Amino acid sequence: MSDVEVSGVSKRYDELWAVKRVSFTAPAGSFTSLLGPSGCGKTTTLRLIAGFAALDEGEVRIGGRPVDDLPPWRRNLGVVFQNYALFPFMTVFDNVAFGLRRRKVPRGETAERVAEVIDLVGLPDLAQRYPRQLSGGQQQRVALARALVIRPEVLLLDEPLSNLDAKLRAEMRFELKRIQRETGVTSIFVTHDQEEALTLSDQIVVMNLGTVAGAAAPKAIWEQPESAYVADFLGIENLFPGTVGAAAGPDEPVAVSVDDGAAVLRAAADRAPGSAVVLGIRSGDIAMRRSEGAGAAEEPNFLDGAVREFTYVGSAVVYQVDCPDLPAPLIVTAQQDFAIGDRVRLRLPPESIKLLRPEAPPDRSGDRP
Amino acid sequence: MSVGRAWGRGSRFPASLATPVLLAFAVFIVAPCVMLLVKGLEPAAETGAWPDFTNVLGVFDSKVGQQALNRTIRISLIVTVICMLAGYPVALFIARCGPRWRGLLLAVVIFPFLISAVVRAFGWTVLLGDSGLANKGLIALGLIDRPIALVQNEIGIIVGETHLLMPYMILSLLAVLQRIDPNLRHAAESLGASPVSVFWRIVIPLTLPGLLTGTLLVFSLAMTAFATPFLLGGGRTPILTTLLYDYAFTLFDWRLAASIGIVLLVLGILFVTVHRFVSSRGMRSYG
Repeated sequence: MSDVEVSGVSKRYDELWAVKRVSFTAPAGSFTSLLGPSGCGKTTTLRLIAGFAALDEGEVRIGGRPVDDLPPWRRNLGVVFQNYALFPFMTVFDNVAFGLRRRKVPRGETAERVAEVIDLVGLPDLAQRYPRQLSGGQQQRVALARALVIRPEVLLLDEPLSNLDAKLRAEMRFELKRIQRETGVTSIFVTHDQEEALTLSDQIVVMNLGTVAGAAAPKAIWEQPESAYVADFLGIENLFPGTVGAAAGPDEPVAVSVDDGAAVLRAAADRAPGSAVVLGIRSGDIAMRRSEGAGAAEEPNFLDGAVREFTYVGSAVVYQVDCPDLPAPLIVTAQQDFAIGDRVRLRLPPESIKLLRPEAPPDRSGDRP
Repeated sequence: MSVGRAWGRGSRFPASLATPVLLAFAVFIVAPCVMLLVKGLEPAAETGAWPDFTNVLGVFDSKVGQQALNRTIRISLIVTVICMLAGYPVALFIARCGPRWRGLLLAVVIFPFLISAVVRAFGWTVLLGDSGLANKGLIALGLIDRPIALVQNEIGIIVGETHLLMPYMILSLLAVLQRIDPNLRHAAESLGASPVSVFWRIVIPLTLPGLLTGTLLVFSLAMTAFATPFLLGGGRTPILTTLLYDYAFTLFDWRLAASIGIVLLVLGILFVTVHRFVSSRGMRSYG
């Protein structure tokens, strides 16, 4: 098994930097996800690692060895494509055996290894079928088998689950995890789906406009995202720019005033007074009840509001609540039923409020990365 | 009223739209074929019964007919092979070009279509003549001492037909080349295939349908070409089409001319049948 070190990698297409000074390390045997919206450079980064495109600056090392001078056919990497890219005129067997035949593996061993890997990815006996005769999920498994049979140093996966329907996607997610654990192959997985990244990865690298916006283990990135951008992408619904005020004392929550609003919220975090932050809180961390009295909320971190809209999502109800003290409606998840127009009182626990680094979008043009 | 009903199965609307074309087909294709068969298989003696195959079989008996038949097949095969070998790299190059260059190069490829056969043949006569650029160049290179005959013979016909038919091969190939998913190449490369290996094992099989379409078009058009072989072949290298013209308009023997027409028709049907058989076997896995 080999680790992958991507250091300061940049790639320019015409006037824009598709990838700009991207650095991260995928430890040997780990599962790393590159997460980001379309156009963030995650697929370009993968293609640079695979060698399908030449990088303009930086270096990629696989197992400590620089690979930038190696063409893709000498890198010994397995690649699974979003559209599977199975050879349409070859049977499943020939597809999977393709890499072994290029390596001049003897016939008997080829047949053995193909059978072994087909078993590993959980394919039934379809060796003589053609790709078009298979379902999407089966094609997916063939693509995986074809990439794994060569015992690659690294497995690169480019949104392999995005063409499957929801049920199959969930199933393949478990399968992918099992196969990665059984083979122990270092894997780099490109996705725009935060749930996929969270469930599969040892490490998540969040990308934004060609740069790395944050990298951490799923639990860390979920509980304390580095920046407002990462928080937004990981589904923290409520984000408000604010300014830190004075703390009441050491180890006391700091008071943060929301920009363009009257609300002042306390957060269990340590920040210098006067610094600009983004307040973030998940919809599920907010407690909501009907407000009885007419008096305004006096206690800290209580806000009054009125239900504006709701959507039923099965396990809960998601409400949009207008708060006069906030510049935008608050998203709240609750189990109880409220009707549109209901007056509600909300509690935002200080320990659930995250203070995030506001971030200016990176500049993609210019001569230097 | 539903759109589905108006256009669906059982609706008379599409059929009525196709009527003019079908009528034209009947008048201009089916009727001449019937007339060809009627004339070509007409009995030689007044007392004979229709159909009489002696004329058609006579084409193979006469020396000139036999030669024209062999020459037609030989030239068509050579032209097809040249178009395939020379057209493939061109199509490959155009497919890899950026959109701006691709447009320009496509225009260059299609250009022969825009020139009349007579002008094109005249151009080749000048280029390939005894004092033409081709002979002068070969002499300058020291490959030959005195001019060699490049027109008024089979070489002239082959050059002219290749020039005429090359676009069909290139366009057929380009149609499939441009549809190839670039990820297939990348997948093969990542599995250890060098560019040469990718070409032979991935690109060639994927372009096989275009190659087959191209050969079908080029061969059948080479076999039935008239103006180009007539103008570049001279009188001593008759092929079936020019021989047919001679019989019809020099000897005014319409029965003999029709017999050659039947031979050409059978040859064409034979080629298409073999081609379809080969294609369907080769294409079984393409879906």
